[in-house]
Order: sequence, then structure tokens, then C-alpha cells
Amino acid sequence: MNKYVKLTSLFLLIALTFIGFSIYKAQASSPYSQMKVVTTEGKPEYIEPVDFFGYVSHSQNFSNSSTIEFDEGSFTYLQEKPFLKRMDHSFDPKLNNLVDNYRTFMRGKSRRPEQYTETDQHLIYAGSKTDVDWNSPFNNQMTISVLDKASDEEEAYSVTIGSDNAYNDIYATYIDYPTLTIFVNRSGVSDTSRNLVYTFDIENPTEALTEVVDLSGYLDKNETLSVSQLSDKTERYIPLKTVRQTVVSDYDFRTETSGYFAYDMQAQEVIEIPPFEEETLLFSDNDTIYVGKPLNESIELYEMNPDDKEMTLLGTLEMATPIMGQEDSSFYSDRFNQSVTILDGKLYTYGQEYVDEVSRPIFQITDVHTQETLFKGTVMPKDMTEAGYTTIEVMEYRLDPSRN
Amino acid sequence: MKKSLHTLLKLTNFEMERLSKFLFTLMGLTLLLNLVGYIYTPMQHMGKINEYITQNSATTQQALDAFGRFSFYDVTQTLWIAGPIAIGVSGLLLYSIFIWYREWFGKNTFAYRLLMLPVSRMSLFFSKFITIFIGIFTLIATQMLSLFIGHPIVSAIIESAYFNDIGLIASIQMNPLFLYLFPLDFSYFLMVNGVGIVVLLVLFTVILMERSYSFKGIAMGILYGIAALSLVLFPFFIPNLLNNQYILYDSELMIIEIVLIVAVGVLSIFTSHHLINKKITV
Repeated sequence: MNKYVKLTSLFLLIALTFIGFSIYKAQASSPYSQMKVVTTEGKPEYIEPVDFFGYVSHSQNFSNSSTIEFDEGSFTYLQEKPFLKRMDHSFDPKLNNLVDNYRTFMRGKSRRPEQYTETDQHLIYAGSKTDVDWNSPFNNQMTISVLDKASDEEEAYSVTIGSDNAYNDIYATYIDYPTLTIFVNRSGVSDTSRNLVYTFDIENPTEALTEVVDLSGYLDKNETLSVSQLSDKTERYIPLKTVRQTVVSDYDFRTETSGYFAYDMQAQEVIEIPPFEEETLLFSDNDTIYVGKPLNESIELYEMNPDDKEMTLLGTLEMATPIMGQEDSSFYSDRFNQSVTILDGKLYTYGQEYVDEVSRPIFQITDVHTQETLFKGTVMPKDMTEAGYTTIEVMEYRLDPSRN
Repeated sequence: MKKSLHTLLKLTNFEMERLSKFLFTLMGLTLLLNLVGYIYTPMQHMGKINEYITQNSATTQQALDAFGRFSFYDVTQTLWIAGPIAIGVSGLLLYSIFIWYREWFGKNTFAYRLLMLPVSRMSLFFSKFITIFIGIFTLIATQMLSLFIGHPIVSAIIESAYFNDIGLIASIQMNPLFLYLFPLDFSYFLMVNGVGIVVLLVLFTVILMERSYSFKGIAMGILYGIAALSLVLFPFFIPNLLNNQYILYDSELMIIEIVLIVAVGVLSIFTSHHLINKKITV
């Protein structure tokens, strides 16, 4: 046996060290701060429609940063998810839900949430050839796929968009079943760019999309179109705004909103919205257009009649901090209303609160008709000793209308 | 079966004896360089703080604002830790080639005696393979033990006011190098070791091709290596071939990769079996 002493010793060294390490690791506390929702006003169940991806970092040690997901009222760190699940992960909560629930349908389709819209019965995708085939930037081919959620049957339509080849950026899709409305920015080879609204009748499919409105006429030179981030893409009115870019220096430019509009999906027309002098908030919910006037720590909310553009004051909604409802933290220049939106009569807002070295998100949900605060709260580490150095930043935020 | 296992054990032990001096040197080097890092890095940090306080008549808080808190993670990021790992990996990679060629080179062609042994020649193949992996795991275990020794040393050198005790496991988990070496995430650990096993099998096959066919074998070996690599990388080109970047989920791509890597491993074992039994010349 003595002749195997080195082999046996090394084998024992490996086995004991690995076992010891595994036991030590299992007993050590997780390096990730456990999080909780802290309700300061209202009821915690109102935050259930909120899904977000956040970034957790420690001011004492910035290298210990991690991505956290808040979904259906509970927190999960990305690093703690199963290996294969992590591989299919997307930073958009809506896309993750779609891949989880409709994996077969999602195969071969682009991973841009704005190209998906759904009703209780259907999930609809509209994507250009370029979205999936990156080697084909200029074409006029599009695919529209409709999934019947009950039967799990998919119907796919190959359609053309316009008569000439162009780079088609589909930046918003909405459904008033069976009419699908698609917002497209078409950039030609000669650098010309047009913002167009197309429709497609799912029940009576045609070989080409129908162009209904050319939004380019509403845009001046140096202006771009921004479309509201809607949680429920079945709303009748789609809020739009035009954004003017002014070059400040070689490395910087300033943006300011130059006009507010709402696109009526039923009448297929653009309604101009008269803005307030200072700042204007524009929302839509079901068949209603809401216009907000942000004050210091509140929002004066009006309901606008689209026919005569008359505004009716609904009331003043008190906000948790001055920044709530006024800050648009969207990372995307072609979208707005990411941090403030109205869904089924409730105003959802979030903002970042800065305390000493750290910051954390504040969420507020207010009933637009009674102005009652249904929920106000934040996210903090369960271990309060970590609160002083733990920053939580919201990266991607979505509302799930099905949980509202 | 029992006899062949016994043969394998004897051959592995024989190979381990031959590797032991080199392995113990690597283990010693790892421990020594790590130890220097555990002492020198925090002392250097404390030296900077003390110098700053003396020169600027600064308070502890001002020193903290200037230098921040020091943690064990800061030590694990230094070359004193990464260096020995790099030396160990490259040393064992070179030994993987040497473990075969040493039989042919030297005063006597020891390969002749080995291949004439009345045992399965694949036992010889597997004994060399197992020896390399014992070497790899021994170095990983040494690094693990070293970190357990280093953590209290570092926390003893750094004054508590300047020390950020984030814990040993947290320090290890934050370093991407250890994510691949240690079983922190079992899936990653399996994946890295799986790839390592197949790379070693392919390397052994290439060496056996060269030993079997000489110059022609070099070309065959290079072609075999390229073919194995192409096969493993092929799935990444499927989306381009099908003109759809989303035709496969990343998890599916990973599963296809695992199947192909296993296939390359099995193919290498069968090829090596054929070469070592039928083609190899002394």
C-alpha cells in the first residue's frame, strides 16, 4: 500500500478540500443582499403588476454588483437562476414572460418588445426581415404572426411594406382586433427617413400593409418622433410627441419637446394636443386621453375630450417626491412615459431617491379618479445594516396588464 | 475488469510518481507566491495610508475617502494569485505533451517497454490522462487551501478601520477567474472541466497521430484538431446559415454544443484506441 502513498494523499487532498469548500460555501451567507418591498402608504398588493430589472451595487465594494429581477412581487438575482434559464435571459421583463409562456411561437422572431402586442385571445408579432436576418438591411419584407392562445395555433403572413427596399424600423405596434397598427421608420438608401403608420387586417389579410398616415408631415427638420410606452397596447389613443434636437457642442446636444399628439387607432387620424406652458404629461388609458401638468410635488390631471379638446380637471395627485412623474428615465430616445403611465385608472410612477451615498427606487400608484394613493413604497435590503451602502437602480420597468 | 482496473491504478501511480516532483514544485510555488501576495499587498496598502496620514496630518476618515476600504478581494485580483494559476495551467499543458514524448526521447526508448507490457494499451492512455487531471485538481485544491490561509493573514495585517470584511466566499465569487476554477456555480464548473477533458483528449489523439505516422501524422493531427474545432464551433453559424438570428435559443445552442463536445471526446477516444493498438510505432 505504501507504494500508492503519493496518489492516495493527492486524491485525499483533492476530495477533502473540495468537500470542505462546498460545505463552507453552503454555510456562508449569500453575497447578494436579500431585498424587500417597504410599503410606506397604501397596500402592497397594488405593486403586483410592476416588473422590473434592477442593478444592485454596494458603495463599499463596487465590484460586488448584480442584476436583480422583481417579478410577481418577489426578487430573484440573475446569478441565482438556473444555468440554462440564465442563457435565455433578456433584460426586458415582457420578453422574458413571452419566452416563458410562448416559447415555440417566439422562436425565430426578434427580441424587441415593441414588436409584440396581445389581446386576451391573441399574441401578435410584426417584424421586418432585417430584424431576424442581420445581413439583409434593406428590403420590404415583413412577417406578421398571430398566435391563438387557446388553440396554440400560429398563423403567419408574409407581407410587403412599401414598394421600394428600405431599412424598416418597427418601433411600435398596437392592436384594435382585428386591425393591427404598426409604426415604422423607413430609411432609404439615400438617407431619407419617413415615419409612417400602417395597418393590417388580421381577419382579411392582404399581401401588402396599408399605409394610413405619414407622420413625417408633423416633424420639422431636426425633430424626431417619440412614442409613449404603453403597457396595454389595446388603448384607442397612442400618445406621441415630437422632440427637437439642438446641437450644443461637438459632443453634446439638447432635446426639448416641440409638440404633443395622440394617434386615434379607430379614426386613423392624428389629434394635436395643446400643451401647458411649462411641462406637459400625456397619457392614454382605454378610450380616454389624459393630460397632466406637473407641479412641484404633484400632478394636475385633466381628461381631454378629443373632439373639442376641452380639458376637464380630474384633480391633483400628490407625489412622493418632486421628481416623481416629471422625470422620464427612458433610455430610448424614441419612447417616453417609461417612468410614469396610466393603466386602468391608476397612475404608476417611479423615481430614484438619493440618500447620502446610495439611491433606491420609489414607487407610487395613485387612483386617477379619487386621487387616493393606493401604494407608496421603496425597495431596500432585508438586512438594514446593508441599507447604508446598497444602491438599487431600476434598469427596465414594465407593467403587466394581466396582473392589474 | 478487476485486473484491468488494477493495471490502470498501477500505471496511474507510476505516472504520478514521475509527475510528483514537478507537481510539488508547482504547489510550492503557488503557496509561496500567494503568501507573498497575502503579506505584501495589504502591507503596501497600509504603508500608503500611513504615509498619507503622516504627510497630510489626515484623519482615518480622510484616509478612507482617499484610499477606500481594503478587502480580501483586492488581494485575489493581484498577479500574486493569478500568476501561479497561469504558471500551473501552462505548466500542466506543456506536461500533457511531455508525458507522451518522454517515452520516446532520452537514452532508452522507454515506450518500447511500456507498449510491450501485457496490458491493454488504453490503460496507458487513460493513466496519463488521469494523471494530468489529478495534477489540475491538486493545483485547484492547493489554491483553495491557500485562500483559506490568506484570508485571516490579510485581515490581521489591515487595521479594522480600513478593512472591508466581505467574507471569503464573497471575495472568491466576485473574481471571475475562480468562477471557472472552483465549484462556485456547478454548471460552469462542469462546463469548464468538460471542455478541458475534451481538449486533452484531442491533444492526446493528435500526439498519437504524430507518433503513428510521423510527418504525415503532424498534418493529420493539425487537420484533426481543426476538424474538431470546426465541429464544435459549427452551431454558432447555424443562425447565419438559416438567415435567422433567433432560430435557436441560447440554451439550445449550449445543449447542441455539449452534445458535440461529448461526440468529439468519444471520437478522440476511439481514434486513440485504434492508433495506440494498431498504428503506433516504437
